[in-house]
Amino acid sequence: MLEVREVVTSYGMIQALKGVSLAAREGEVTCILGPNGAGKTTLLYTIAGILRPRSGSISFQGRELAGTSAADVVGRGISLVPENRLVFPHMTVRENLLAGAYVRLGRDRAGVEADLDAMFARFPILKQRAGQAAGTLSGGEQQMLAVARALMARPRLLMMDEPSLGLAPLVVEQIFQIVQGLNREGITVLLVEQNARLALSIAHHAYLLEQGRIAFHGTPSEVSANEGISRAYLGIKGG
Amino acid sequence: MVDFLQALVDGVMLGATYSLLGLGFTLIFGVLRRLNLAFGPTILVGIYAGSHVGLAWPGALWAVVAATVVAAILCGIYVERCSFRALARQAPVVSMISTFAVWMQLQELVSLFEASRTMPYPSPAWLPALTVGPILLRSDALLMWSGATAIMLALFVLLYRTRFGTAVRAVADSSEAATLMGVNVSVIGAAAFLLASTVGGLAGVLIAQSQQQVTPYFGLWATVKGLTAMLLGGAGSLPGAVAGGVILGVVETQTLWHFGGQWRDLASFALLFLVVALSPRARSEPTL
Repeated sequence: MLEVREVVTSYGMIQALKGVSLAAREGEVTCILGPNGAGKTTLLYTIAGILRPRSGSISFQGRELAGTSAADVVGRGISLVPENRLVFPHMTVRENLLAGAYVRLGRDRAGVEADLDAMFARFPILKQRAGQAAGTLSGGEQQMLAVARALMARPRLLMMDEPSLGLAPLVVEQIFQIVQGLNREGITVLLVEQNARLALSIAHHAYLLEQGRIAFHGTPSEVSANEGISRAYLGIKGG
Repeated sequence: MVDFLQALVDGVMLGATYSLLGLGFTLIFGVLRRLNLAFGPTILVGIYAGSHVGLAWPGALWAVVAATVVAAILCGIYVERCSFRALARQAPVVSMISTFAVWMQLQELVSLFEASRTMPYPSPAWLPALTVGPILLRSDALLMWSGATAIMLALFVLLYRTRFGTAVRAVADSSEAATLMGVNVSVIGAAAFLLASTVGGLAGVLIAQSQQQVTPYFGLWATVKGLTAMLLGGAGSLPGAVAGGVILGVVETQTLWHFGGQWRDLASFALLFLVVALSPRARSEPTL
């Protein structure tokens, strides 16, 4: 569904991605593991059209994506739930969701209203908080709002950047159940996550990104079977 | 008591135009995170344009309004190009300093070409004054208040009830997240600037018809009133700017009434200092 080939992205002189290739297959959860500074967020921002790749290609459903605007990427069905959630703190929960549907707010008001009701049914806590400023929500509630806001654009591919960051373990589990549920409903997921164990538990395929390059990829069991990776990312002592 | 009420009513009516100036500042500051000190001087140019049209076609009030607003908008576009678009990658303080330079340009140009300096501005003389009990409602003040209120209502509908408004407030809250939602942040920034210039031009019409004249110092006056209204209301909150403008107006008229005109500005600046020094809200992040 999504195919990234030999993508190079730089910040000035610094190459953050040095030729990354990966694929996210339709209907699967693909996860990207790797240490801080490996280029995971850069990769997601490049796919999202916020950063321009210096070279390489990104195709989505067979069409080239590299070089299109962020708005076009959202319009084509890719949404990003950013690191640290980035909800609009002074807008209400309802307004946050409407902002998520921005690309189709003008021409599909009825569809947006229907999706709003669907989000409130899926996340009852957001319905309770509908008129409240998003900045007053707890971390877990904000993460749910960020997911719901991304869903308001009706994505076929949902990208998530560190959804577990700064959340209590119980809440993290809840968020991952939501992600898994969405995937079962047919949404393809590309997940960047520090919590490797949890990410591998719901992923179909995993990539390891190190210093701007893909160092390894395979199924979760192949990743776990690799002694070096297990030791570095899963905290398992090799023997 | 009657004095107090009269000054209160006068202050609310005057303050409504301060609210408009404050909203113009807030729109630009909230969306672009940059201060536009040249906001008042762009209105100054608009009022001079309106004054000339008023002298050329006496009685053509709509032409005066149109000339004022259009000239203010054109000047706003000039400021946006010079100090904001061209310097978008520079630090916010660079933009702010350059708006000061543009302010001086505009003020000096007006002084240079307007030999008589003080120019008349037409007002709708046919409007009657109202008296409610002991309170007198001057026609020019009533027009300021009702005009400003109508503009504010329209502005709030635009910002809180439309797709464009959602985008403007989203960019003000988090431009990064807004980009992720597919909002073109630079287009929204330019549009917010245009909107602020329009509001500024309309505020200029309402203020000038009340003062019935304009001098080259109007730019300074309008920038100070707008900035004060915005800061009193918490630097970045739209409802706050409305409240800030009204509070400023009331403080001014009360001071004028009880202590005399020479204390008017001193009182409002003392109030501004107190609010900035004491309130955590005034020092917090900008928001819409």
